[in-house]
Amino acid sequence: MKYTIGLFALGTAALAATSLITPAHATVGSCTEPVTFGTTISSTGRYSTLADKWRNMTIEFAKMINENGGVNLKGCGKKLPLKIIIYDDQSVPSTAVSLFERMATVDKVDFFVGPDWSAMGFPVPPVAEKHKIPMVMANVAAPPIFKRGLKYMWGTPMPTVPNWSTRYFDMMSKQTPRPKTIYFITQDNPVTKALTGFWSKKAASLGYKVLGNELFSVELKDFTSLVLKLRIRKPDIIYISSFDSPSVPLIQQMRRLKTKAKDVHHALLSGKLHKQVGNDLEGVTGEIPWYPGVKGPYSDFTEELVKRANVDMFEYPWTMSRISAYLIMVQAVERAGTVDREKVRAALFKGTFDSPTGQIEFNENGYAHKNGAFTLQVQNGKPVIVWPPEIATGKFVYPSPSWQ
Amino acid sequence: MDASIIIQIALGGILLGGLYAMVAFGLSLIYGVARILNFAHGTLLAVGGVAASAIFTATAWNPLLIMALLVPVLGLFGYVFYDKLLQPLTKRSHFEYTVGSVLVTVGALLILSDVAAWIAGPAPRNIPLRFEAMEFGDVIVSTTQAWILGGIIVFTIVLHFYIKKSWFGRAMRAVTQDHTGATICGVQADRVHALTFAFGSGIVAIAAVLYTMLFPVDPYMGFSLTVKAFTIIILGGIGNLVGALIAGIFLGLAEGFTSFFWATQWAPAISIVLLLVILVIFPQGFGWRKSK
Amino acid sequence: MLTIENLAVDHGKLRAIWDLSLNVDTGARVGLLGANGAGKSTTLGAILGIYPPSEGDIRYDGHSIVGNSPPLNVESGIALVPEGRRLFGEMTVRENLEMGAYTKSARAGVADNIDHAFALFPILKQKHNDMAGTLSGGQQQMLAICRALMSSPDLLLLDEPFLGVAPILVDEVMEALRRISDEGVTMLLVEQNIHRALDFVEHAYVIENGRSVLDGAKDTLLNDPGFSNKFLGLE
Repeated sequence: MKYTIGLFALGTAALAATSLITPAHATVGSCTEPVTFGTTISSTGRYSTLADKWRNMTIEFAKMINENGGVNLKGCGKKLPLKIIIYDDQSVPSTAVSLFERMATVDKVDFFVGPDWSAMGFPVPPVAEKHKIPMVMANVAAPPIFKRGLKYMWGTPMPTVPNWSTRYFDMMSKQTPRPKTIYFITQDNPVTKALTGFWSKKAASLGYKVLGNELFSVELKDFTSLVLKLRIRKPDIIYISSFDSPSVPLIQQMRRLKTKAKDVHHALLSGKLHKQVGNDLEGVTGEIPWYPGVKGPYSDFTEELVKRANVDMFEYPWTMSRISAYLIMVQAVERAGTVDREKVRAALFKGTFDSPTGQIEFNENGYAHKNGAFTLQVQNGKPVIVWPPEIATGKFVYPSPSWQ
Repeated sequence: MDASIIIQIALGGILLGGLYAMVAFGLSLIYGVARILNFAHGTLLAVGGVAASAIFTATAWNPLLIMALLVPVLGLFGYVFYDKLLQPLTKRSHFEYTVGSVLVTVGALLILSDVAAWIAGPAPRNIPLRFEAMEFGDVIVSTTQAWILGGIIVFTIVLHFYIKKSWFGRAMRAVTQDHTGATICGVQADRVHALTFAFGSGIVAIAAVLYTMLFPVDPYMGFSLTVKAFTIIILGGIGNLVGALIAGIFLGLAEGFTSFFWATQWAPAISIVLLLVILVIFPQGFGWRKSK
Repeated sequence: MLTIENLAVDHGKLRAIWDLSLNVDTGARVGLLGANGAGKSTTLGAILGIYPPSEGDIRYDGHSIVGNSPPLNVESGIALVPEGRRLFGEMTVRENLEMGAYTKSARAGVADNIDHAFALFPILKQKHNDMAGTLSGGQQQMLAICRALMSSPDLLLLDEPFLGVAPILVDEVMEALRRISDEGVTMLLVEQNIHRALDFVEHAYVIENGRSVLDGAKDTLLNDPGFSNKFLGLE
């Protein structure tokens, strides 16, 4: 259970004070004013552990674009500087709504980027719709959000549920001895349940025998019984679909009770989990949207950006989705060639854009449905990309020796 | 069914239940003496555990030393908490006292959680001390678990005798049973109230260190512990330590076996189900209280 | 030893004692008589410090004790056998006695005072390990008296010590109280049963609706026609 001391009303008032830049005037087709993006970041509140470095990173992003001259507008025959207005939504959806409203009417930004999290993905896009301002959201994954017929909303969650473990299962299918059985352990949360819901069916269709499908609540601390079930059923793969905090005691008790498996997969693995359980994570596989060293469009730019902003992609795996939202909006404006919301909207519609993770392709609902993830394995305490082989930074160790 | 599995689950259940019981001890003493439902009690374990983990990470001290440091600190906190925030309410009407004490303890719970999260971060933390695992057939017991089990047993016995034999222990029981009677005997009720808060909070400090050696703690996990402790008190009887220990272990075992034989997702909810079932079948709870 | 002057006590907004004065000499046995609700128990509570007076003065050993807490008054030698006994039902007889010696100065004498109590009421010795809640009414009253004696008081305040005591035990309790008195303990007895009270005390005060209305030595009162008509006739 999470609590926030801040009262919403009070918070909103206080937030106004954190405004970065004085209002910029968006004039359609202007070739003198900077191109202005508006966004909110969960710098405080319950999601802040995932996002607390993004404010600084966003400032660095605008700086880096401007170091290259800015956003290239054919219609003006020159590059215009980029401004990004940033507010803290305190992880509270209603705060985010009023901030986007403010950015539309007071700050008069040209385009919206962000916000994150499905909880905000429901109430915020209607603001963009009302003011006809194109919006590329970042970590907003729940499919129903995109099925509301909204015309000014795109989202680039990384990875998307149906593509989350694609490369992992591809990798496992090429191992010898081939794993035959799998056991799903799922945190009781909409996103993690969606993952298991999709991948347990998929695993069965791929020929795996699903030995168990266990749901646990975040309150659970004593996993003895669950671990004993694993010891009895002896699955080849243990697939853990959980955010990294609730699974801490699970991983620790699996080690304490000497659980064996050919591979232990933690679908939402991050460096934070590694910090908490240390060596217990050795050999565990996970997934990550992108990691420095993986080459692709804008990969040098992104490497430089995360270096400047001091963001470790393993610790902040959701960062790639944020950066992608920014990159896509810049590309869309450049394609439109002018600061015209309707033309940018047309550029975004069913568009395909560049990103270090590969091509990002929007479907007609504005959903980047093909975003996938790379498979990594913790080796000697460090995350190593092990799949696909063409971009791997190390070799997959299988069967995982530390789980024998 | 393999006996080793039952033993393994029972071991986990007893450990967790014993720790629940230690939280319930203090809550029970405080309720008995001051008639205050201290909703912040479990949060004190969460915050104490976070502090213990932070100290361990920084210094690698022996957990016993951390305990020795935390017991007086949390004890002092408990004393001041009662003395400065709750005691003034006793001058109000009964209604204001009841509602006011709920507001104060719930407020403390929120503030403690947020302050701890602000200082130490909201992520779960441990005392990552690894002792050797001992294997008896298929049953795996870490020496940490063995020490903690021993610690809980010794602590319960010491606490039992302390409350039975010491002047302060007797005063707590006397105030619990008859407030006016205790005053007539020369007991300073306000002081005993505040000291009981200190005492209960000190017990939580011990439980916090033990808990953090076995399970991760985070600043926001306290309330569910408080709910479990309330369940234990209802089953075991107010001020009844032996009853609380039995009820706690019973609860821990129930959670373990629910998870194994039924489904893991139901384990945390089983305490409420059990509470209802048992209160229907045994309206007196497990506590074999002698009625007046 | 104890002097009360123009005492007034309020229970919240209700005034329980309006104007009460009395005097208890060292070693005396004094009664405080009156009907139910006259304010007798409140007076004893005010002396011990449970109910702070609104007006008037209470002097003990020459010093005002108004505003002193009950523990302080117990420490200085006042003890109360309260209305309804107020025992700790789920503590043993021995533990109840030990609680009576809770104040710092009394703790040294615990063993002696327990022996004294057991000599006074041997049944308590027999039942020393039983829960107080399991005793009979008379036995509980004995325990309440002994618990009060555990602090070695100079002034013993007794609130209806015969209430709920079986008739055959009343004499035993009264005999014990006489022995305590003979040992030099001053007593102030609250009692509804006037005959029984006058059997025990040497001097009595009568209060009505929170005011002292009459007082005198036992014989004076018995010979006072107003007193006899008003109180003894009712019995």
